[in-house]
Amino acid sequence: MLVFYYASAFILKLLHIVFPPAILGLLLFAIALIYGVIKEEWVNTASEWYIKNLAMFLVPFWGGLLVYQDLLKKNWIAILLVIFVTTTLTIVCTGLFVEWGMKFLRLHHMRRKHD
Amino acid sequence: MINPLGFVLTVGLFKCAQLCKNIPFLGKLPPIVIAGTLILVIMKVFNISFETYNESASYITLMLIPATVALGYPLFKHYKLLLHNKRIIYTGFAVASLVAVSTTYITAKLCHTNLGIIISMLPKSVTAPIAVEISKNMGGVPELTACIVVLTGVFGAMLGHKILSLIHVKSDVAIGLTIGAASHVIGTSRCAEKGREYQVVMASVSIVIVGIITSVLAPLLVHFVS
Repeated sequence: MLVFYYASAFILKLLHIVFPPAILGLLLFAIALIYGVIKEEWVNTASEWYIKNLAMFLVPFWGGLLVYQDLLKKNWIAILLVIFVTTTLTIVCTGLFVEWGMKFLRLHHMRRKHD
Repeated sequence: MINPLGFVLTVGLFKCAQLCKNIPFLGKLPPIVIAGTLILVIMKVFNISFETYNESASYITLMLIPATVALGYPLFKHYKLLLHNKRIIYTGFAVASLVAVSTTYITAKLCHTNLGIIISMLPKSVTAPIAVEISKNMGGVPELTACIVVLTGVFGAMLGHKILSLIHVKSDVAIGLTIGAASHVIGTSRCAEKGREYQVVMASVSIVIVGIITSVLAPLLVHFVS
């Protein structure tokens, strides 16, 4: 299983230069599963293990912040502000869009049935 | 022989942080925040350079590639859901991604931050491994991205459900999609705590799809603006 992941990541690295290889690997992996090229039983334990420990693989990046501490010190207010504002905006816009969109479609559907 | 310090420190502290789940205040924070901060403190106190630490810790980072590919598994598990009520969900994903990327760019620009930081912040609503890939690809600072992504997730997990109920968004599909799109895995775990299975499923699909859309959208935006 491990071999499969690395192979797909590696092949993509060779083929695609601009696009993040791991994301294309993800798509190919899902497609391969949907079309039964890979059996679910082969990969489910490994996949679940990776996803469960995903956060651990990111911890070294926090260590890496040490290198950028000056950058952080200068910009931390801006960064926090941006996080606060944009996350709220994203939540509000998406939430309302989907909620209203679903209501609208349902109404549309019902009206059509009525006619 | 490489120095195993970074590896041991990372795995050990992360496992310890996971055990903090039942402690009242610390349990609310995701383990990565606890472990990451502790590592920063330790490196500062004992004067360990990042190079020494990263000698072995970089192997952990390497695991991020297969972990990202593994995200295809939940996508496969729930792809039938995508085929069901497709129209509104697809546009929902696109709206989420578009709003997240463009508002980030505009607010960051208004705060007069430099381009490097803006680029690192663009993929902040996306799940961390994908965000790091996007940021690396566009010439951002992956370390900064990882930190901002996690902070966004914590923020979304704390306030996401409150904001949504404030604006009267009630359906599980809408809530799950929004939480997954705005605050990725950390927000989704909050849905799981509330025991809403359907929200969790919707959110986990949303995480991956929005991640993919953003990986296309963010470089395009940067290209057009500059």
